[in-house]
Amino acid sequence: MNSRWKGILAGVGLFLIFTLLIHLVLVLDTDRFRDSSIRTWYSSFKDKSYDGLRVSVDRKTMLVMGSSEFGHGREGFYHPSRMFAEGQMDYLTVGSPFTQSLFHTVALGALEGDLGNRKAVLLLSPTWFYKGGVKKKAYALRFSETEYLAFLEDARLPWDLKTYVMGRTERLLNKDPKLSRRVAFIDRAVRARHAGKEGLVTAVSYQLLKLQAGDRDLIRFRTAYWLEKRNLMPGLKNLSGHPNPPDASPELLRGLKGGEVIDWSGCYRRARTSSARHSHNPFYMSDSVWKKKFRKTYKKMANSHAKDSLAHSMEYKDLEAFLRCAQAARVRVCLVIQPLNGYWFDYTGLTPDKRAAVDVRVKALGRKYGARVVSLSKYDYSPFVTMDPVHPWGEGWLRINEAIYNFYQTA
Amino acid sequence: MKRSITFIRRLKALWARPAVKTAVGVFVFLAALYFFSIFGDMLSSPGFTYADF
Repeated sequence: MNSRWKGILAGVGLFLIFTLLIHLVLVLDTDRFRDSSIRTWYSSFKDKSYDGLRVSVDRKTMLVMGSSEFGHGREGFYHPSRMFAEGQMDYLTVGSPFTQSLFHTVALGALEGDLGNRKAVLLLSPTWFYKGGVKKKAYALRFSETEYLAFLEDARLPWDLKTYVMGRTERLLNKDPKLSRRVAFIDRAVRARHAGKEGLVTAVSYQLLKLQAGDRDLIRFRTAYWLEKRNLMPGLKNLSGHPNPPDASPELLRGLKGGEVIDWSGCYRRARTSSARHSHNPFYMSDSVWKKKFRKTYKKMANSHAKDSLAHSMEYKDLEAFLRCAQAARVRVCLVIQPLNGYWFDYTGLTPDKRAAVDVRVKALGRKYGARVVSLSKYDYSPFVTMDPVHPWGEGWLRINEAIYNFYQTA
Repeated sequence: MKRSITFIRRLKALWARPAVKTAVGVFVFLAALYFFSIFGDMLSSPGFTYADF
């Protein structure tokens, strides 16, 4: 063997030792990351890392799954990360912009084995239920390979649910060549294993891919968390723990800290008064959002949703997959239908009769699978319930918090 | 002082061997690929800024 080949082999050997060391450090050093602020941290890097989420779950933790709403109102008192900052509820939020039912089906299936509490809340936005359901780009953006692997390996979940999720995932990722190739390989390996025909090469390649994906997601998760904790990335101020929320009354905080019964009606009054001071537009939105996004363009948006419907959508099938996953894993589910800004959607043509389809179909699914359904659509015309057309403001968050809290308290 | 000079001389002698240069080159190349596969995607990911959502 000449010296060049010796050098190449030595270089590859050194690299393998290096990656093995990184892997060992990641696996052995998990306790430092059992930080409670991670549970309500709003980050897609958290949501994508199966190991990152897994170490944050314990015996009492309930999953609270949603999407972009977790990023709205974080500076105020009524966001759950602030309102329940004293540990009144042990919960883990999962969700970033564009995460919908299919993403959460995979996440729930992946995490169910670690979930001692056996409860999950899914915050549904009626806007998920437009005709096509989740968009290809959005699904690819938030897709978690490590959660997908854990979901497919969960022995408790039925095979037909896995084939549904595999089929949907393959179709939704077909515009992303890199992800699509990796998922095609994973699915081939899982199908071969299920049929008892998995070869040695496939088995070894699958384990290597799993190792690489796990380390990659965990390194990203920890790097993003490290940067955020030290405020090194502007715009990444999404950790919880605001010491003095601006709109919290001392009485309310005392009640929450002391574990007394929460005075919800007092909270609602304060939230409305507080929001009214910052809303002077025809749709009762927050003035800052109104000025930034809608004031100049809203006239062009009249009837822009007139042809849209929420009655038929792939999202209902994905939601059914979520409920089937929960049923198979014996996880109790509470579906919360979030309030929308009724004034805005009337103006843009998505009238109450069209919006009602979400309530009807979600409630029917809830009945079929024994899930609790809390519809907050009755507050669509409550002024200041949302800060923009869809995201909860003070009162909106309180309504959601009450539903989550009540579900958490049930035996 | 004497020790460190000896150590540097040894390193120089080691670096003069072609196999060592190749090994270090291969390691640096693979490590760069590894880090790029992790952080390349991460830095371009919209996960770093939610300003538009």
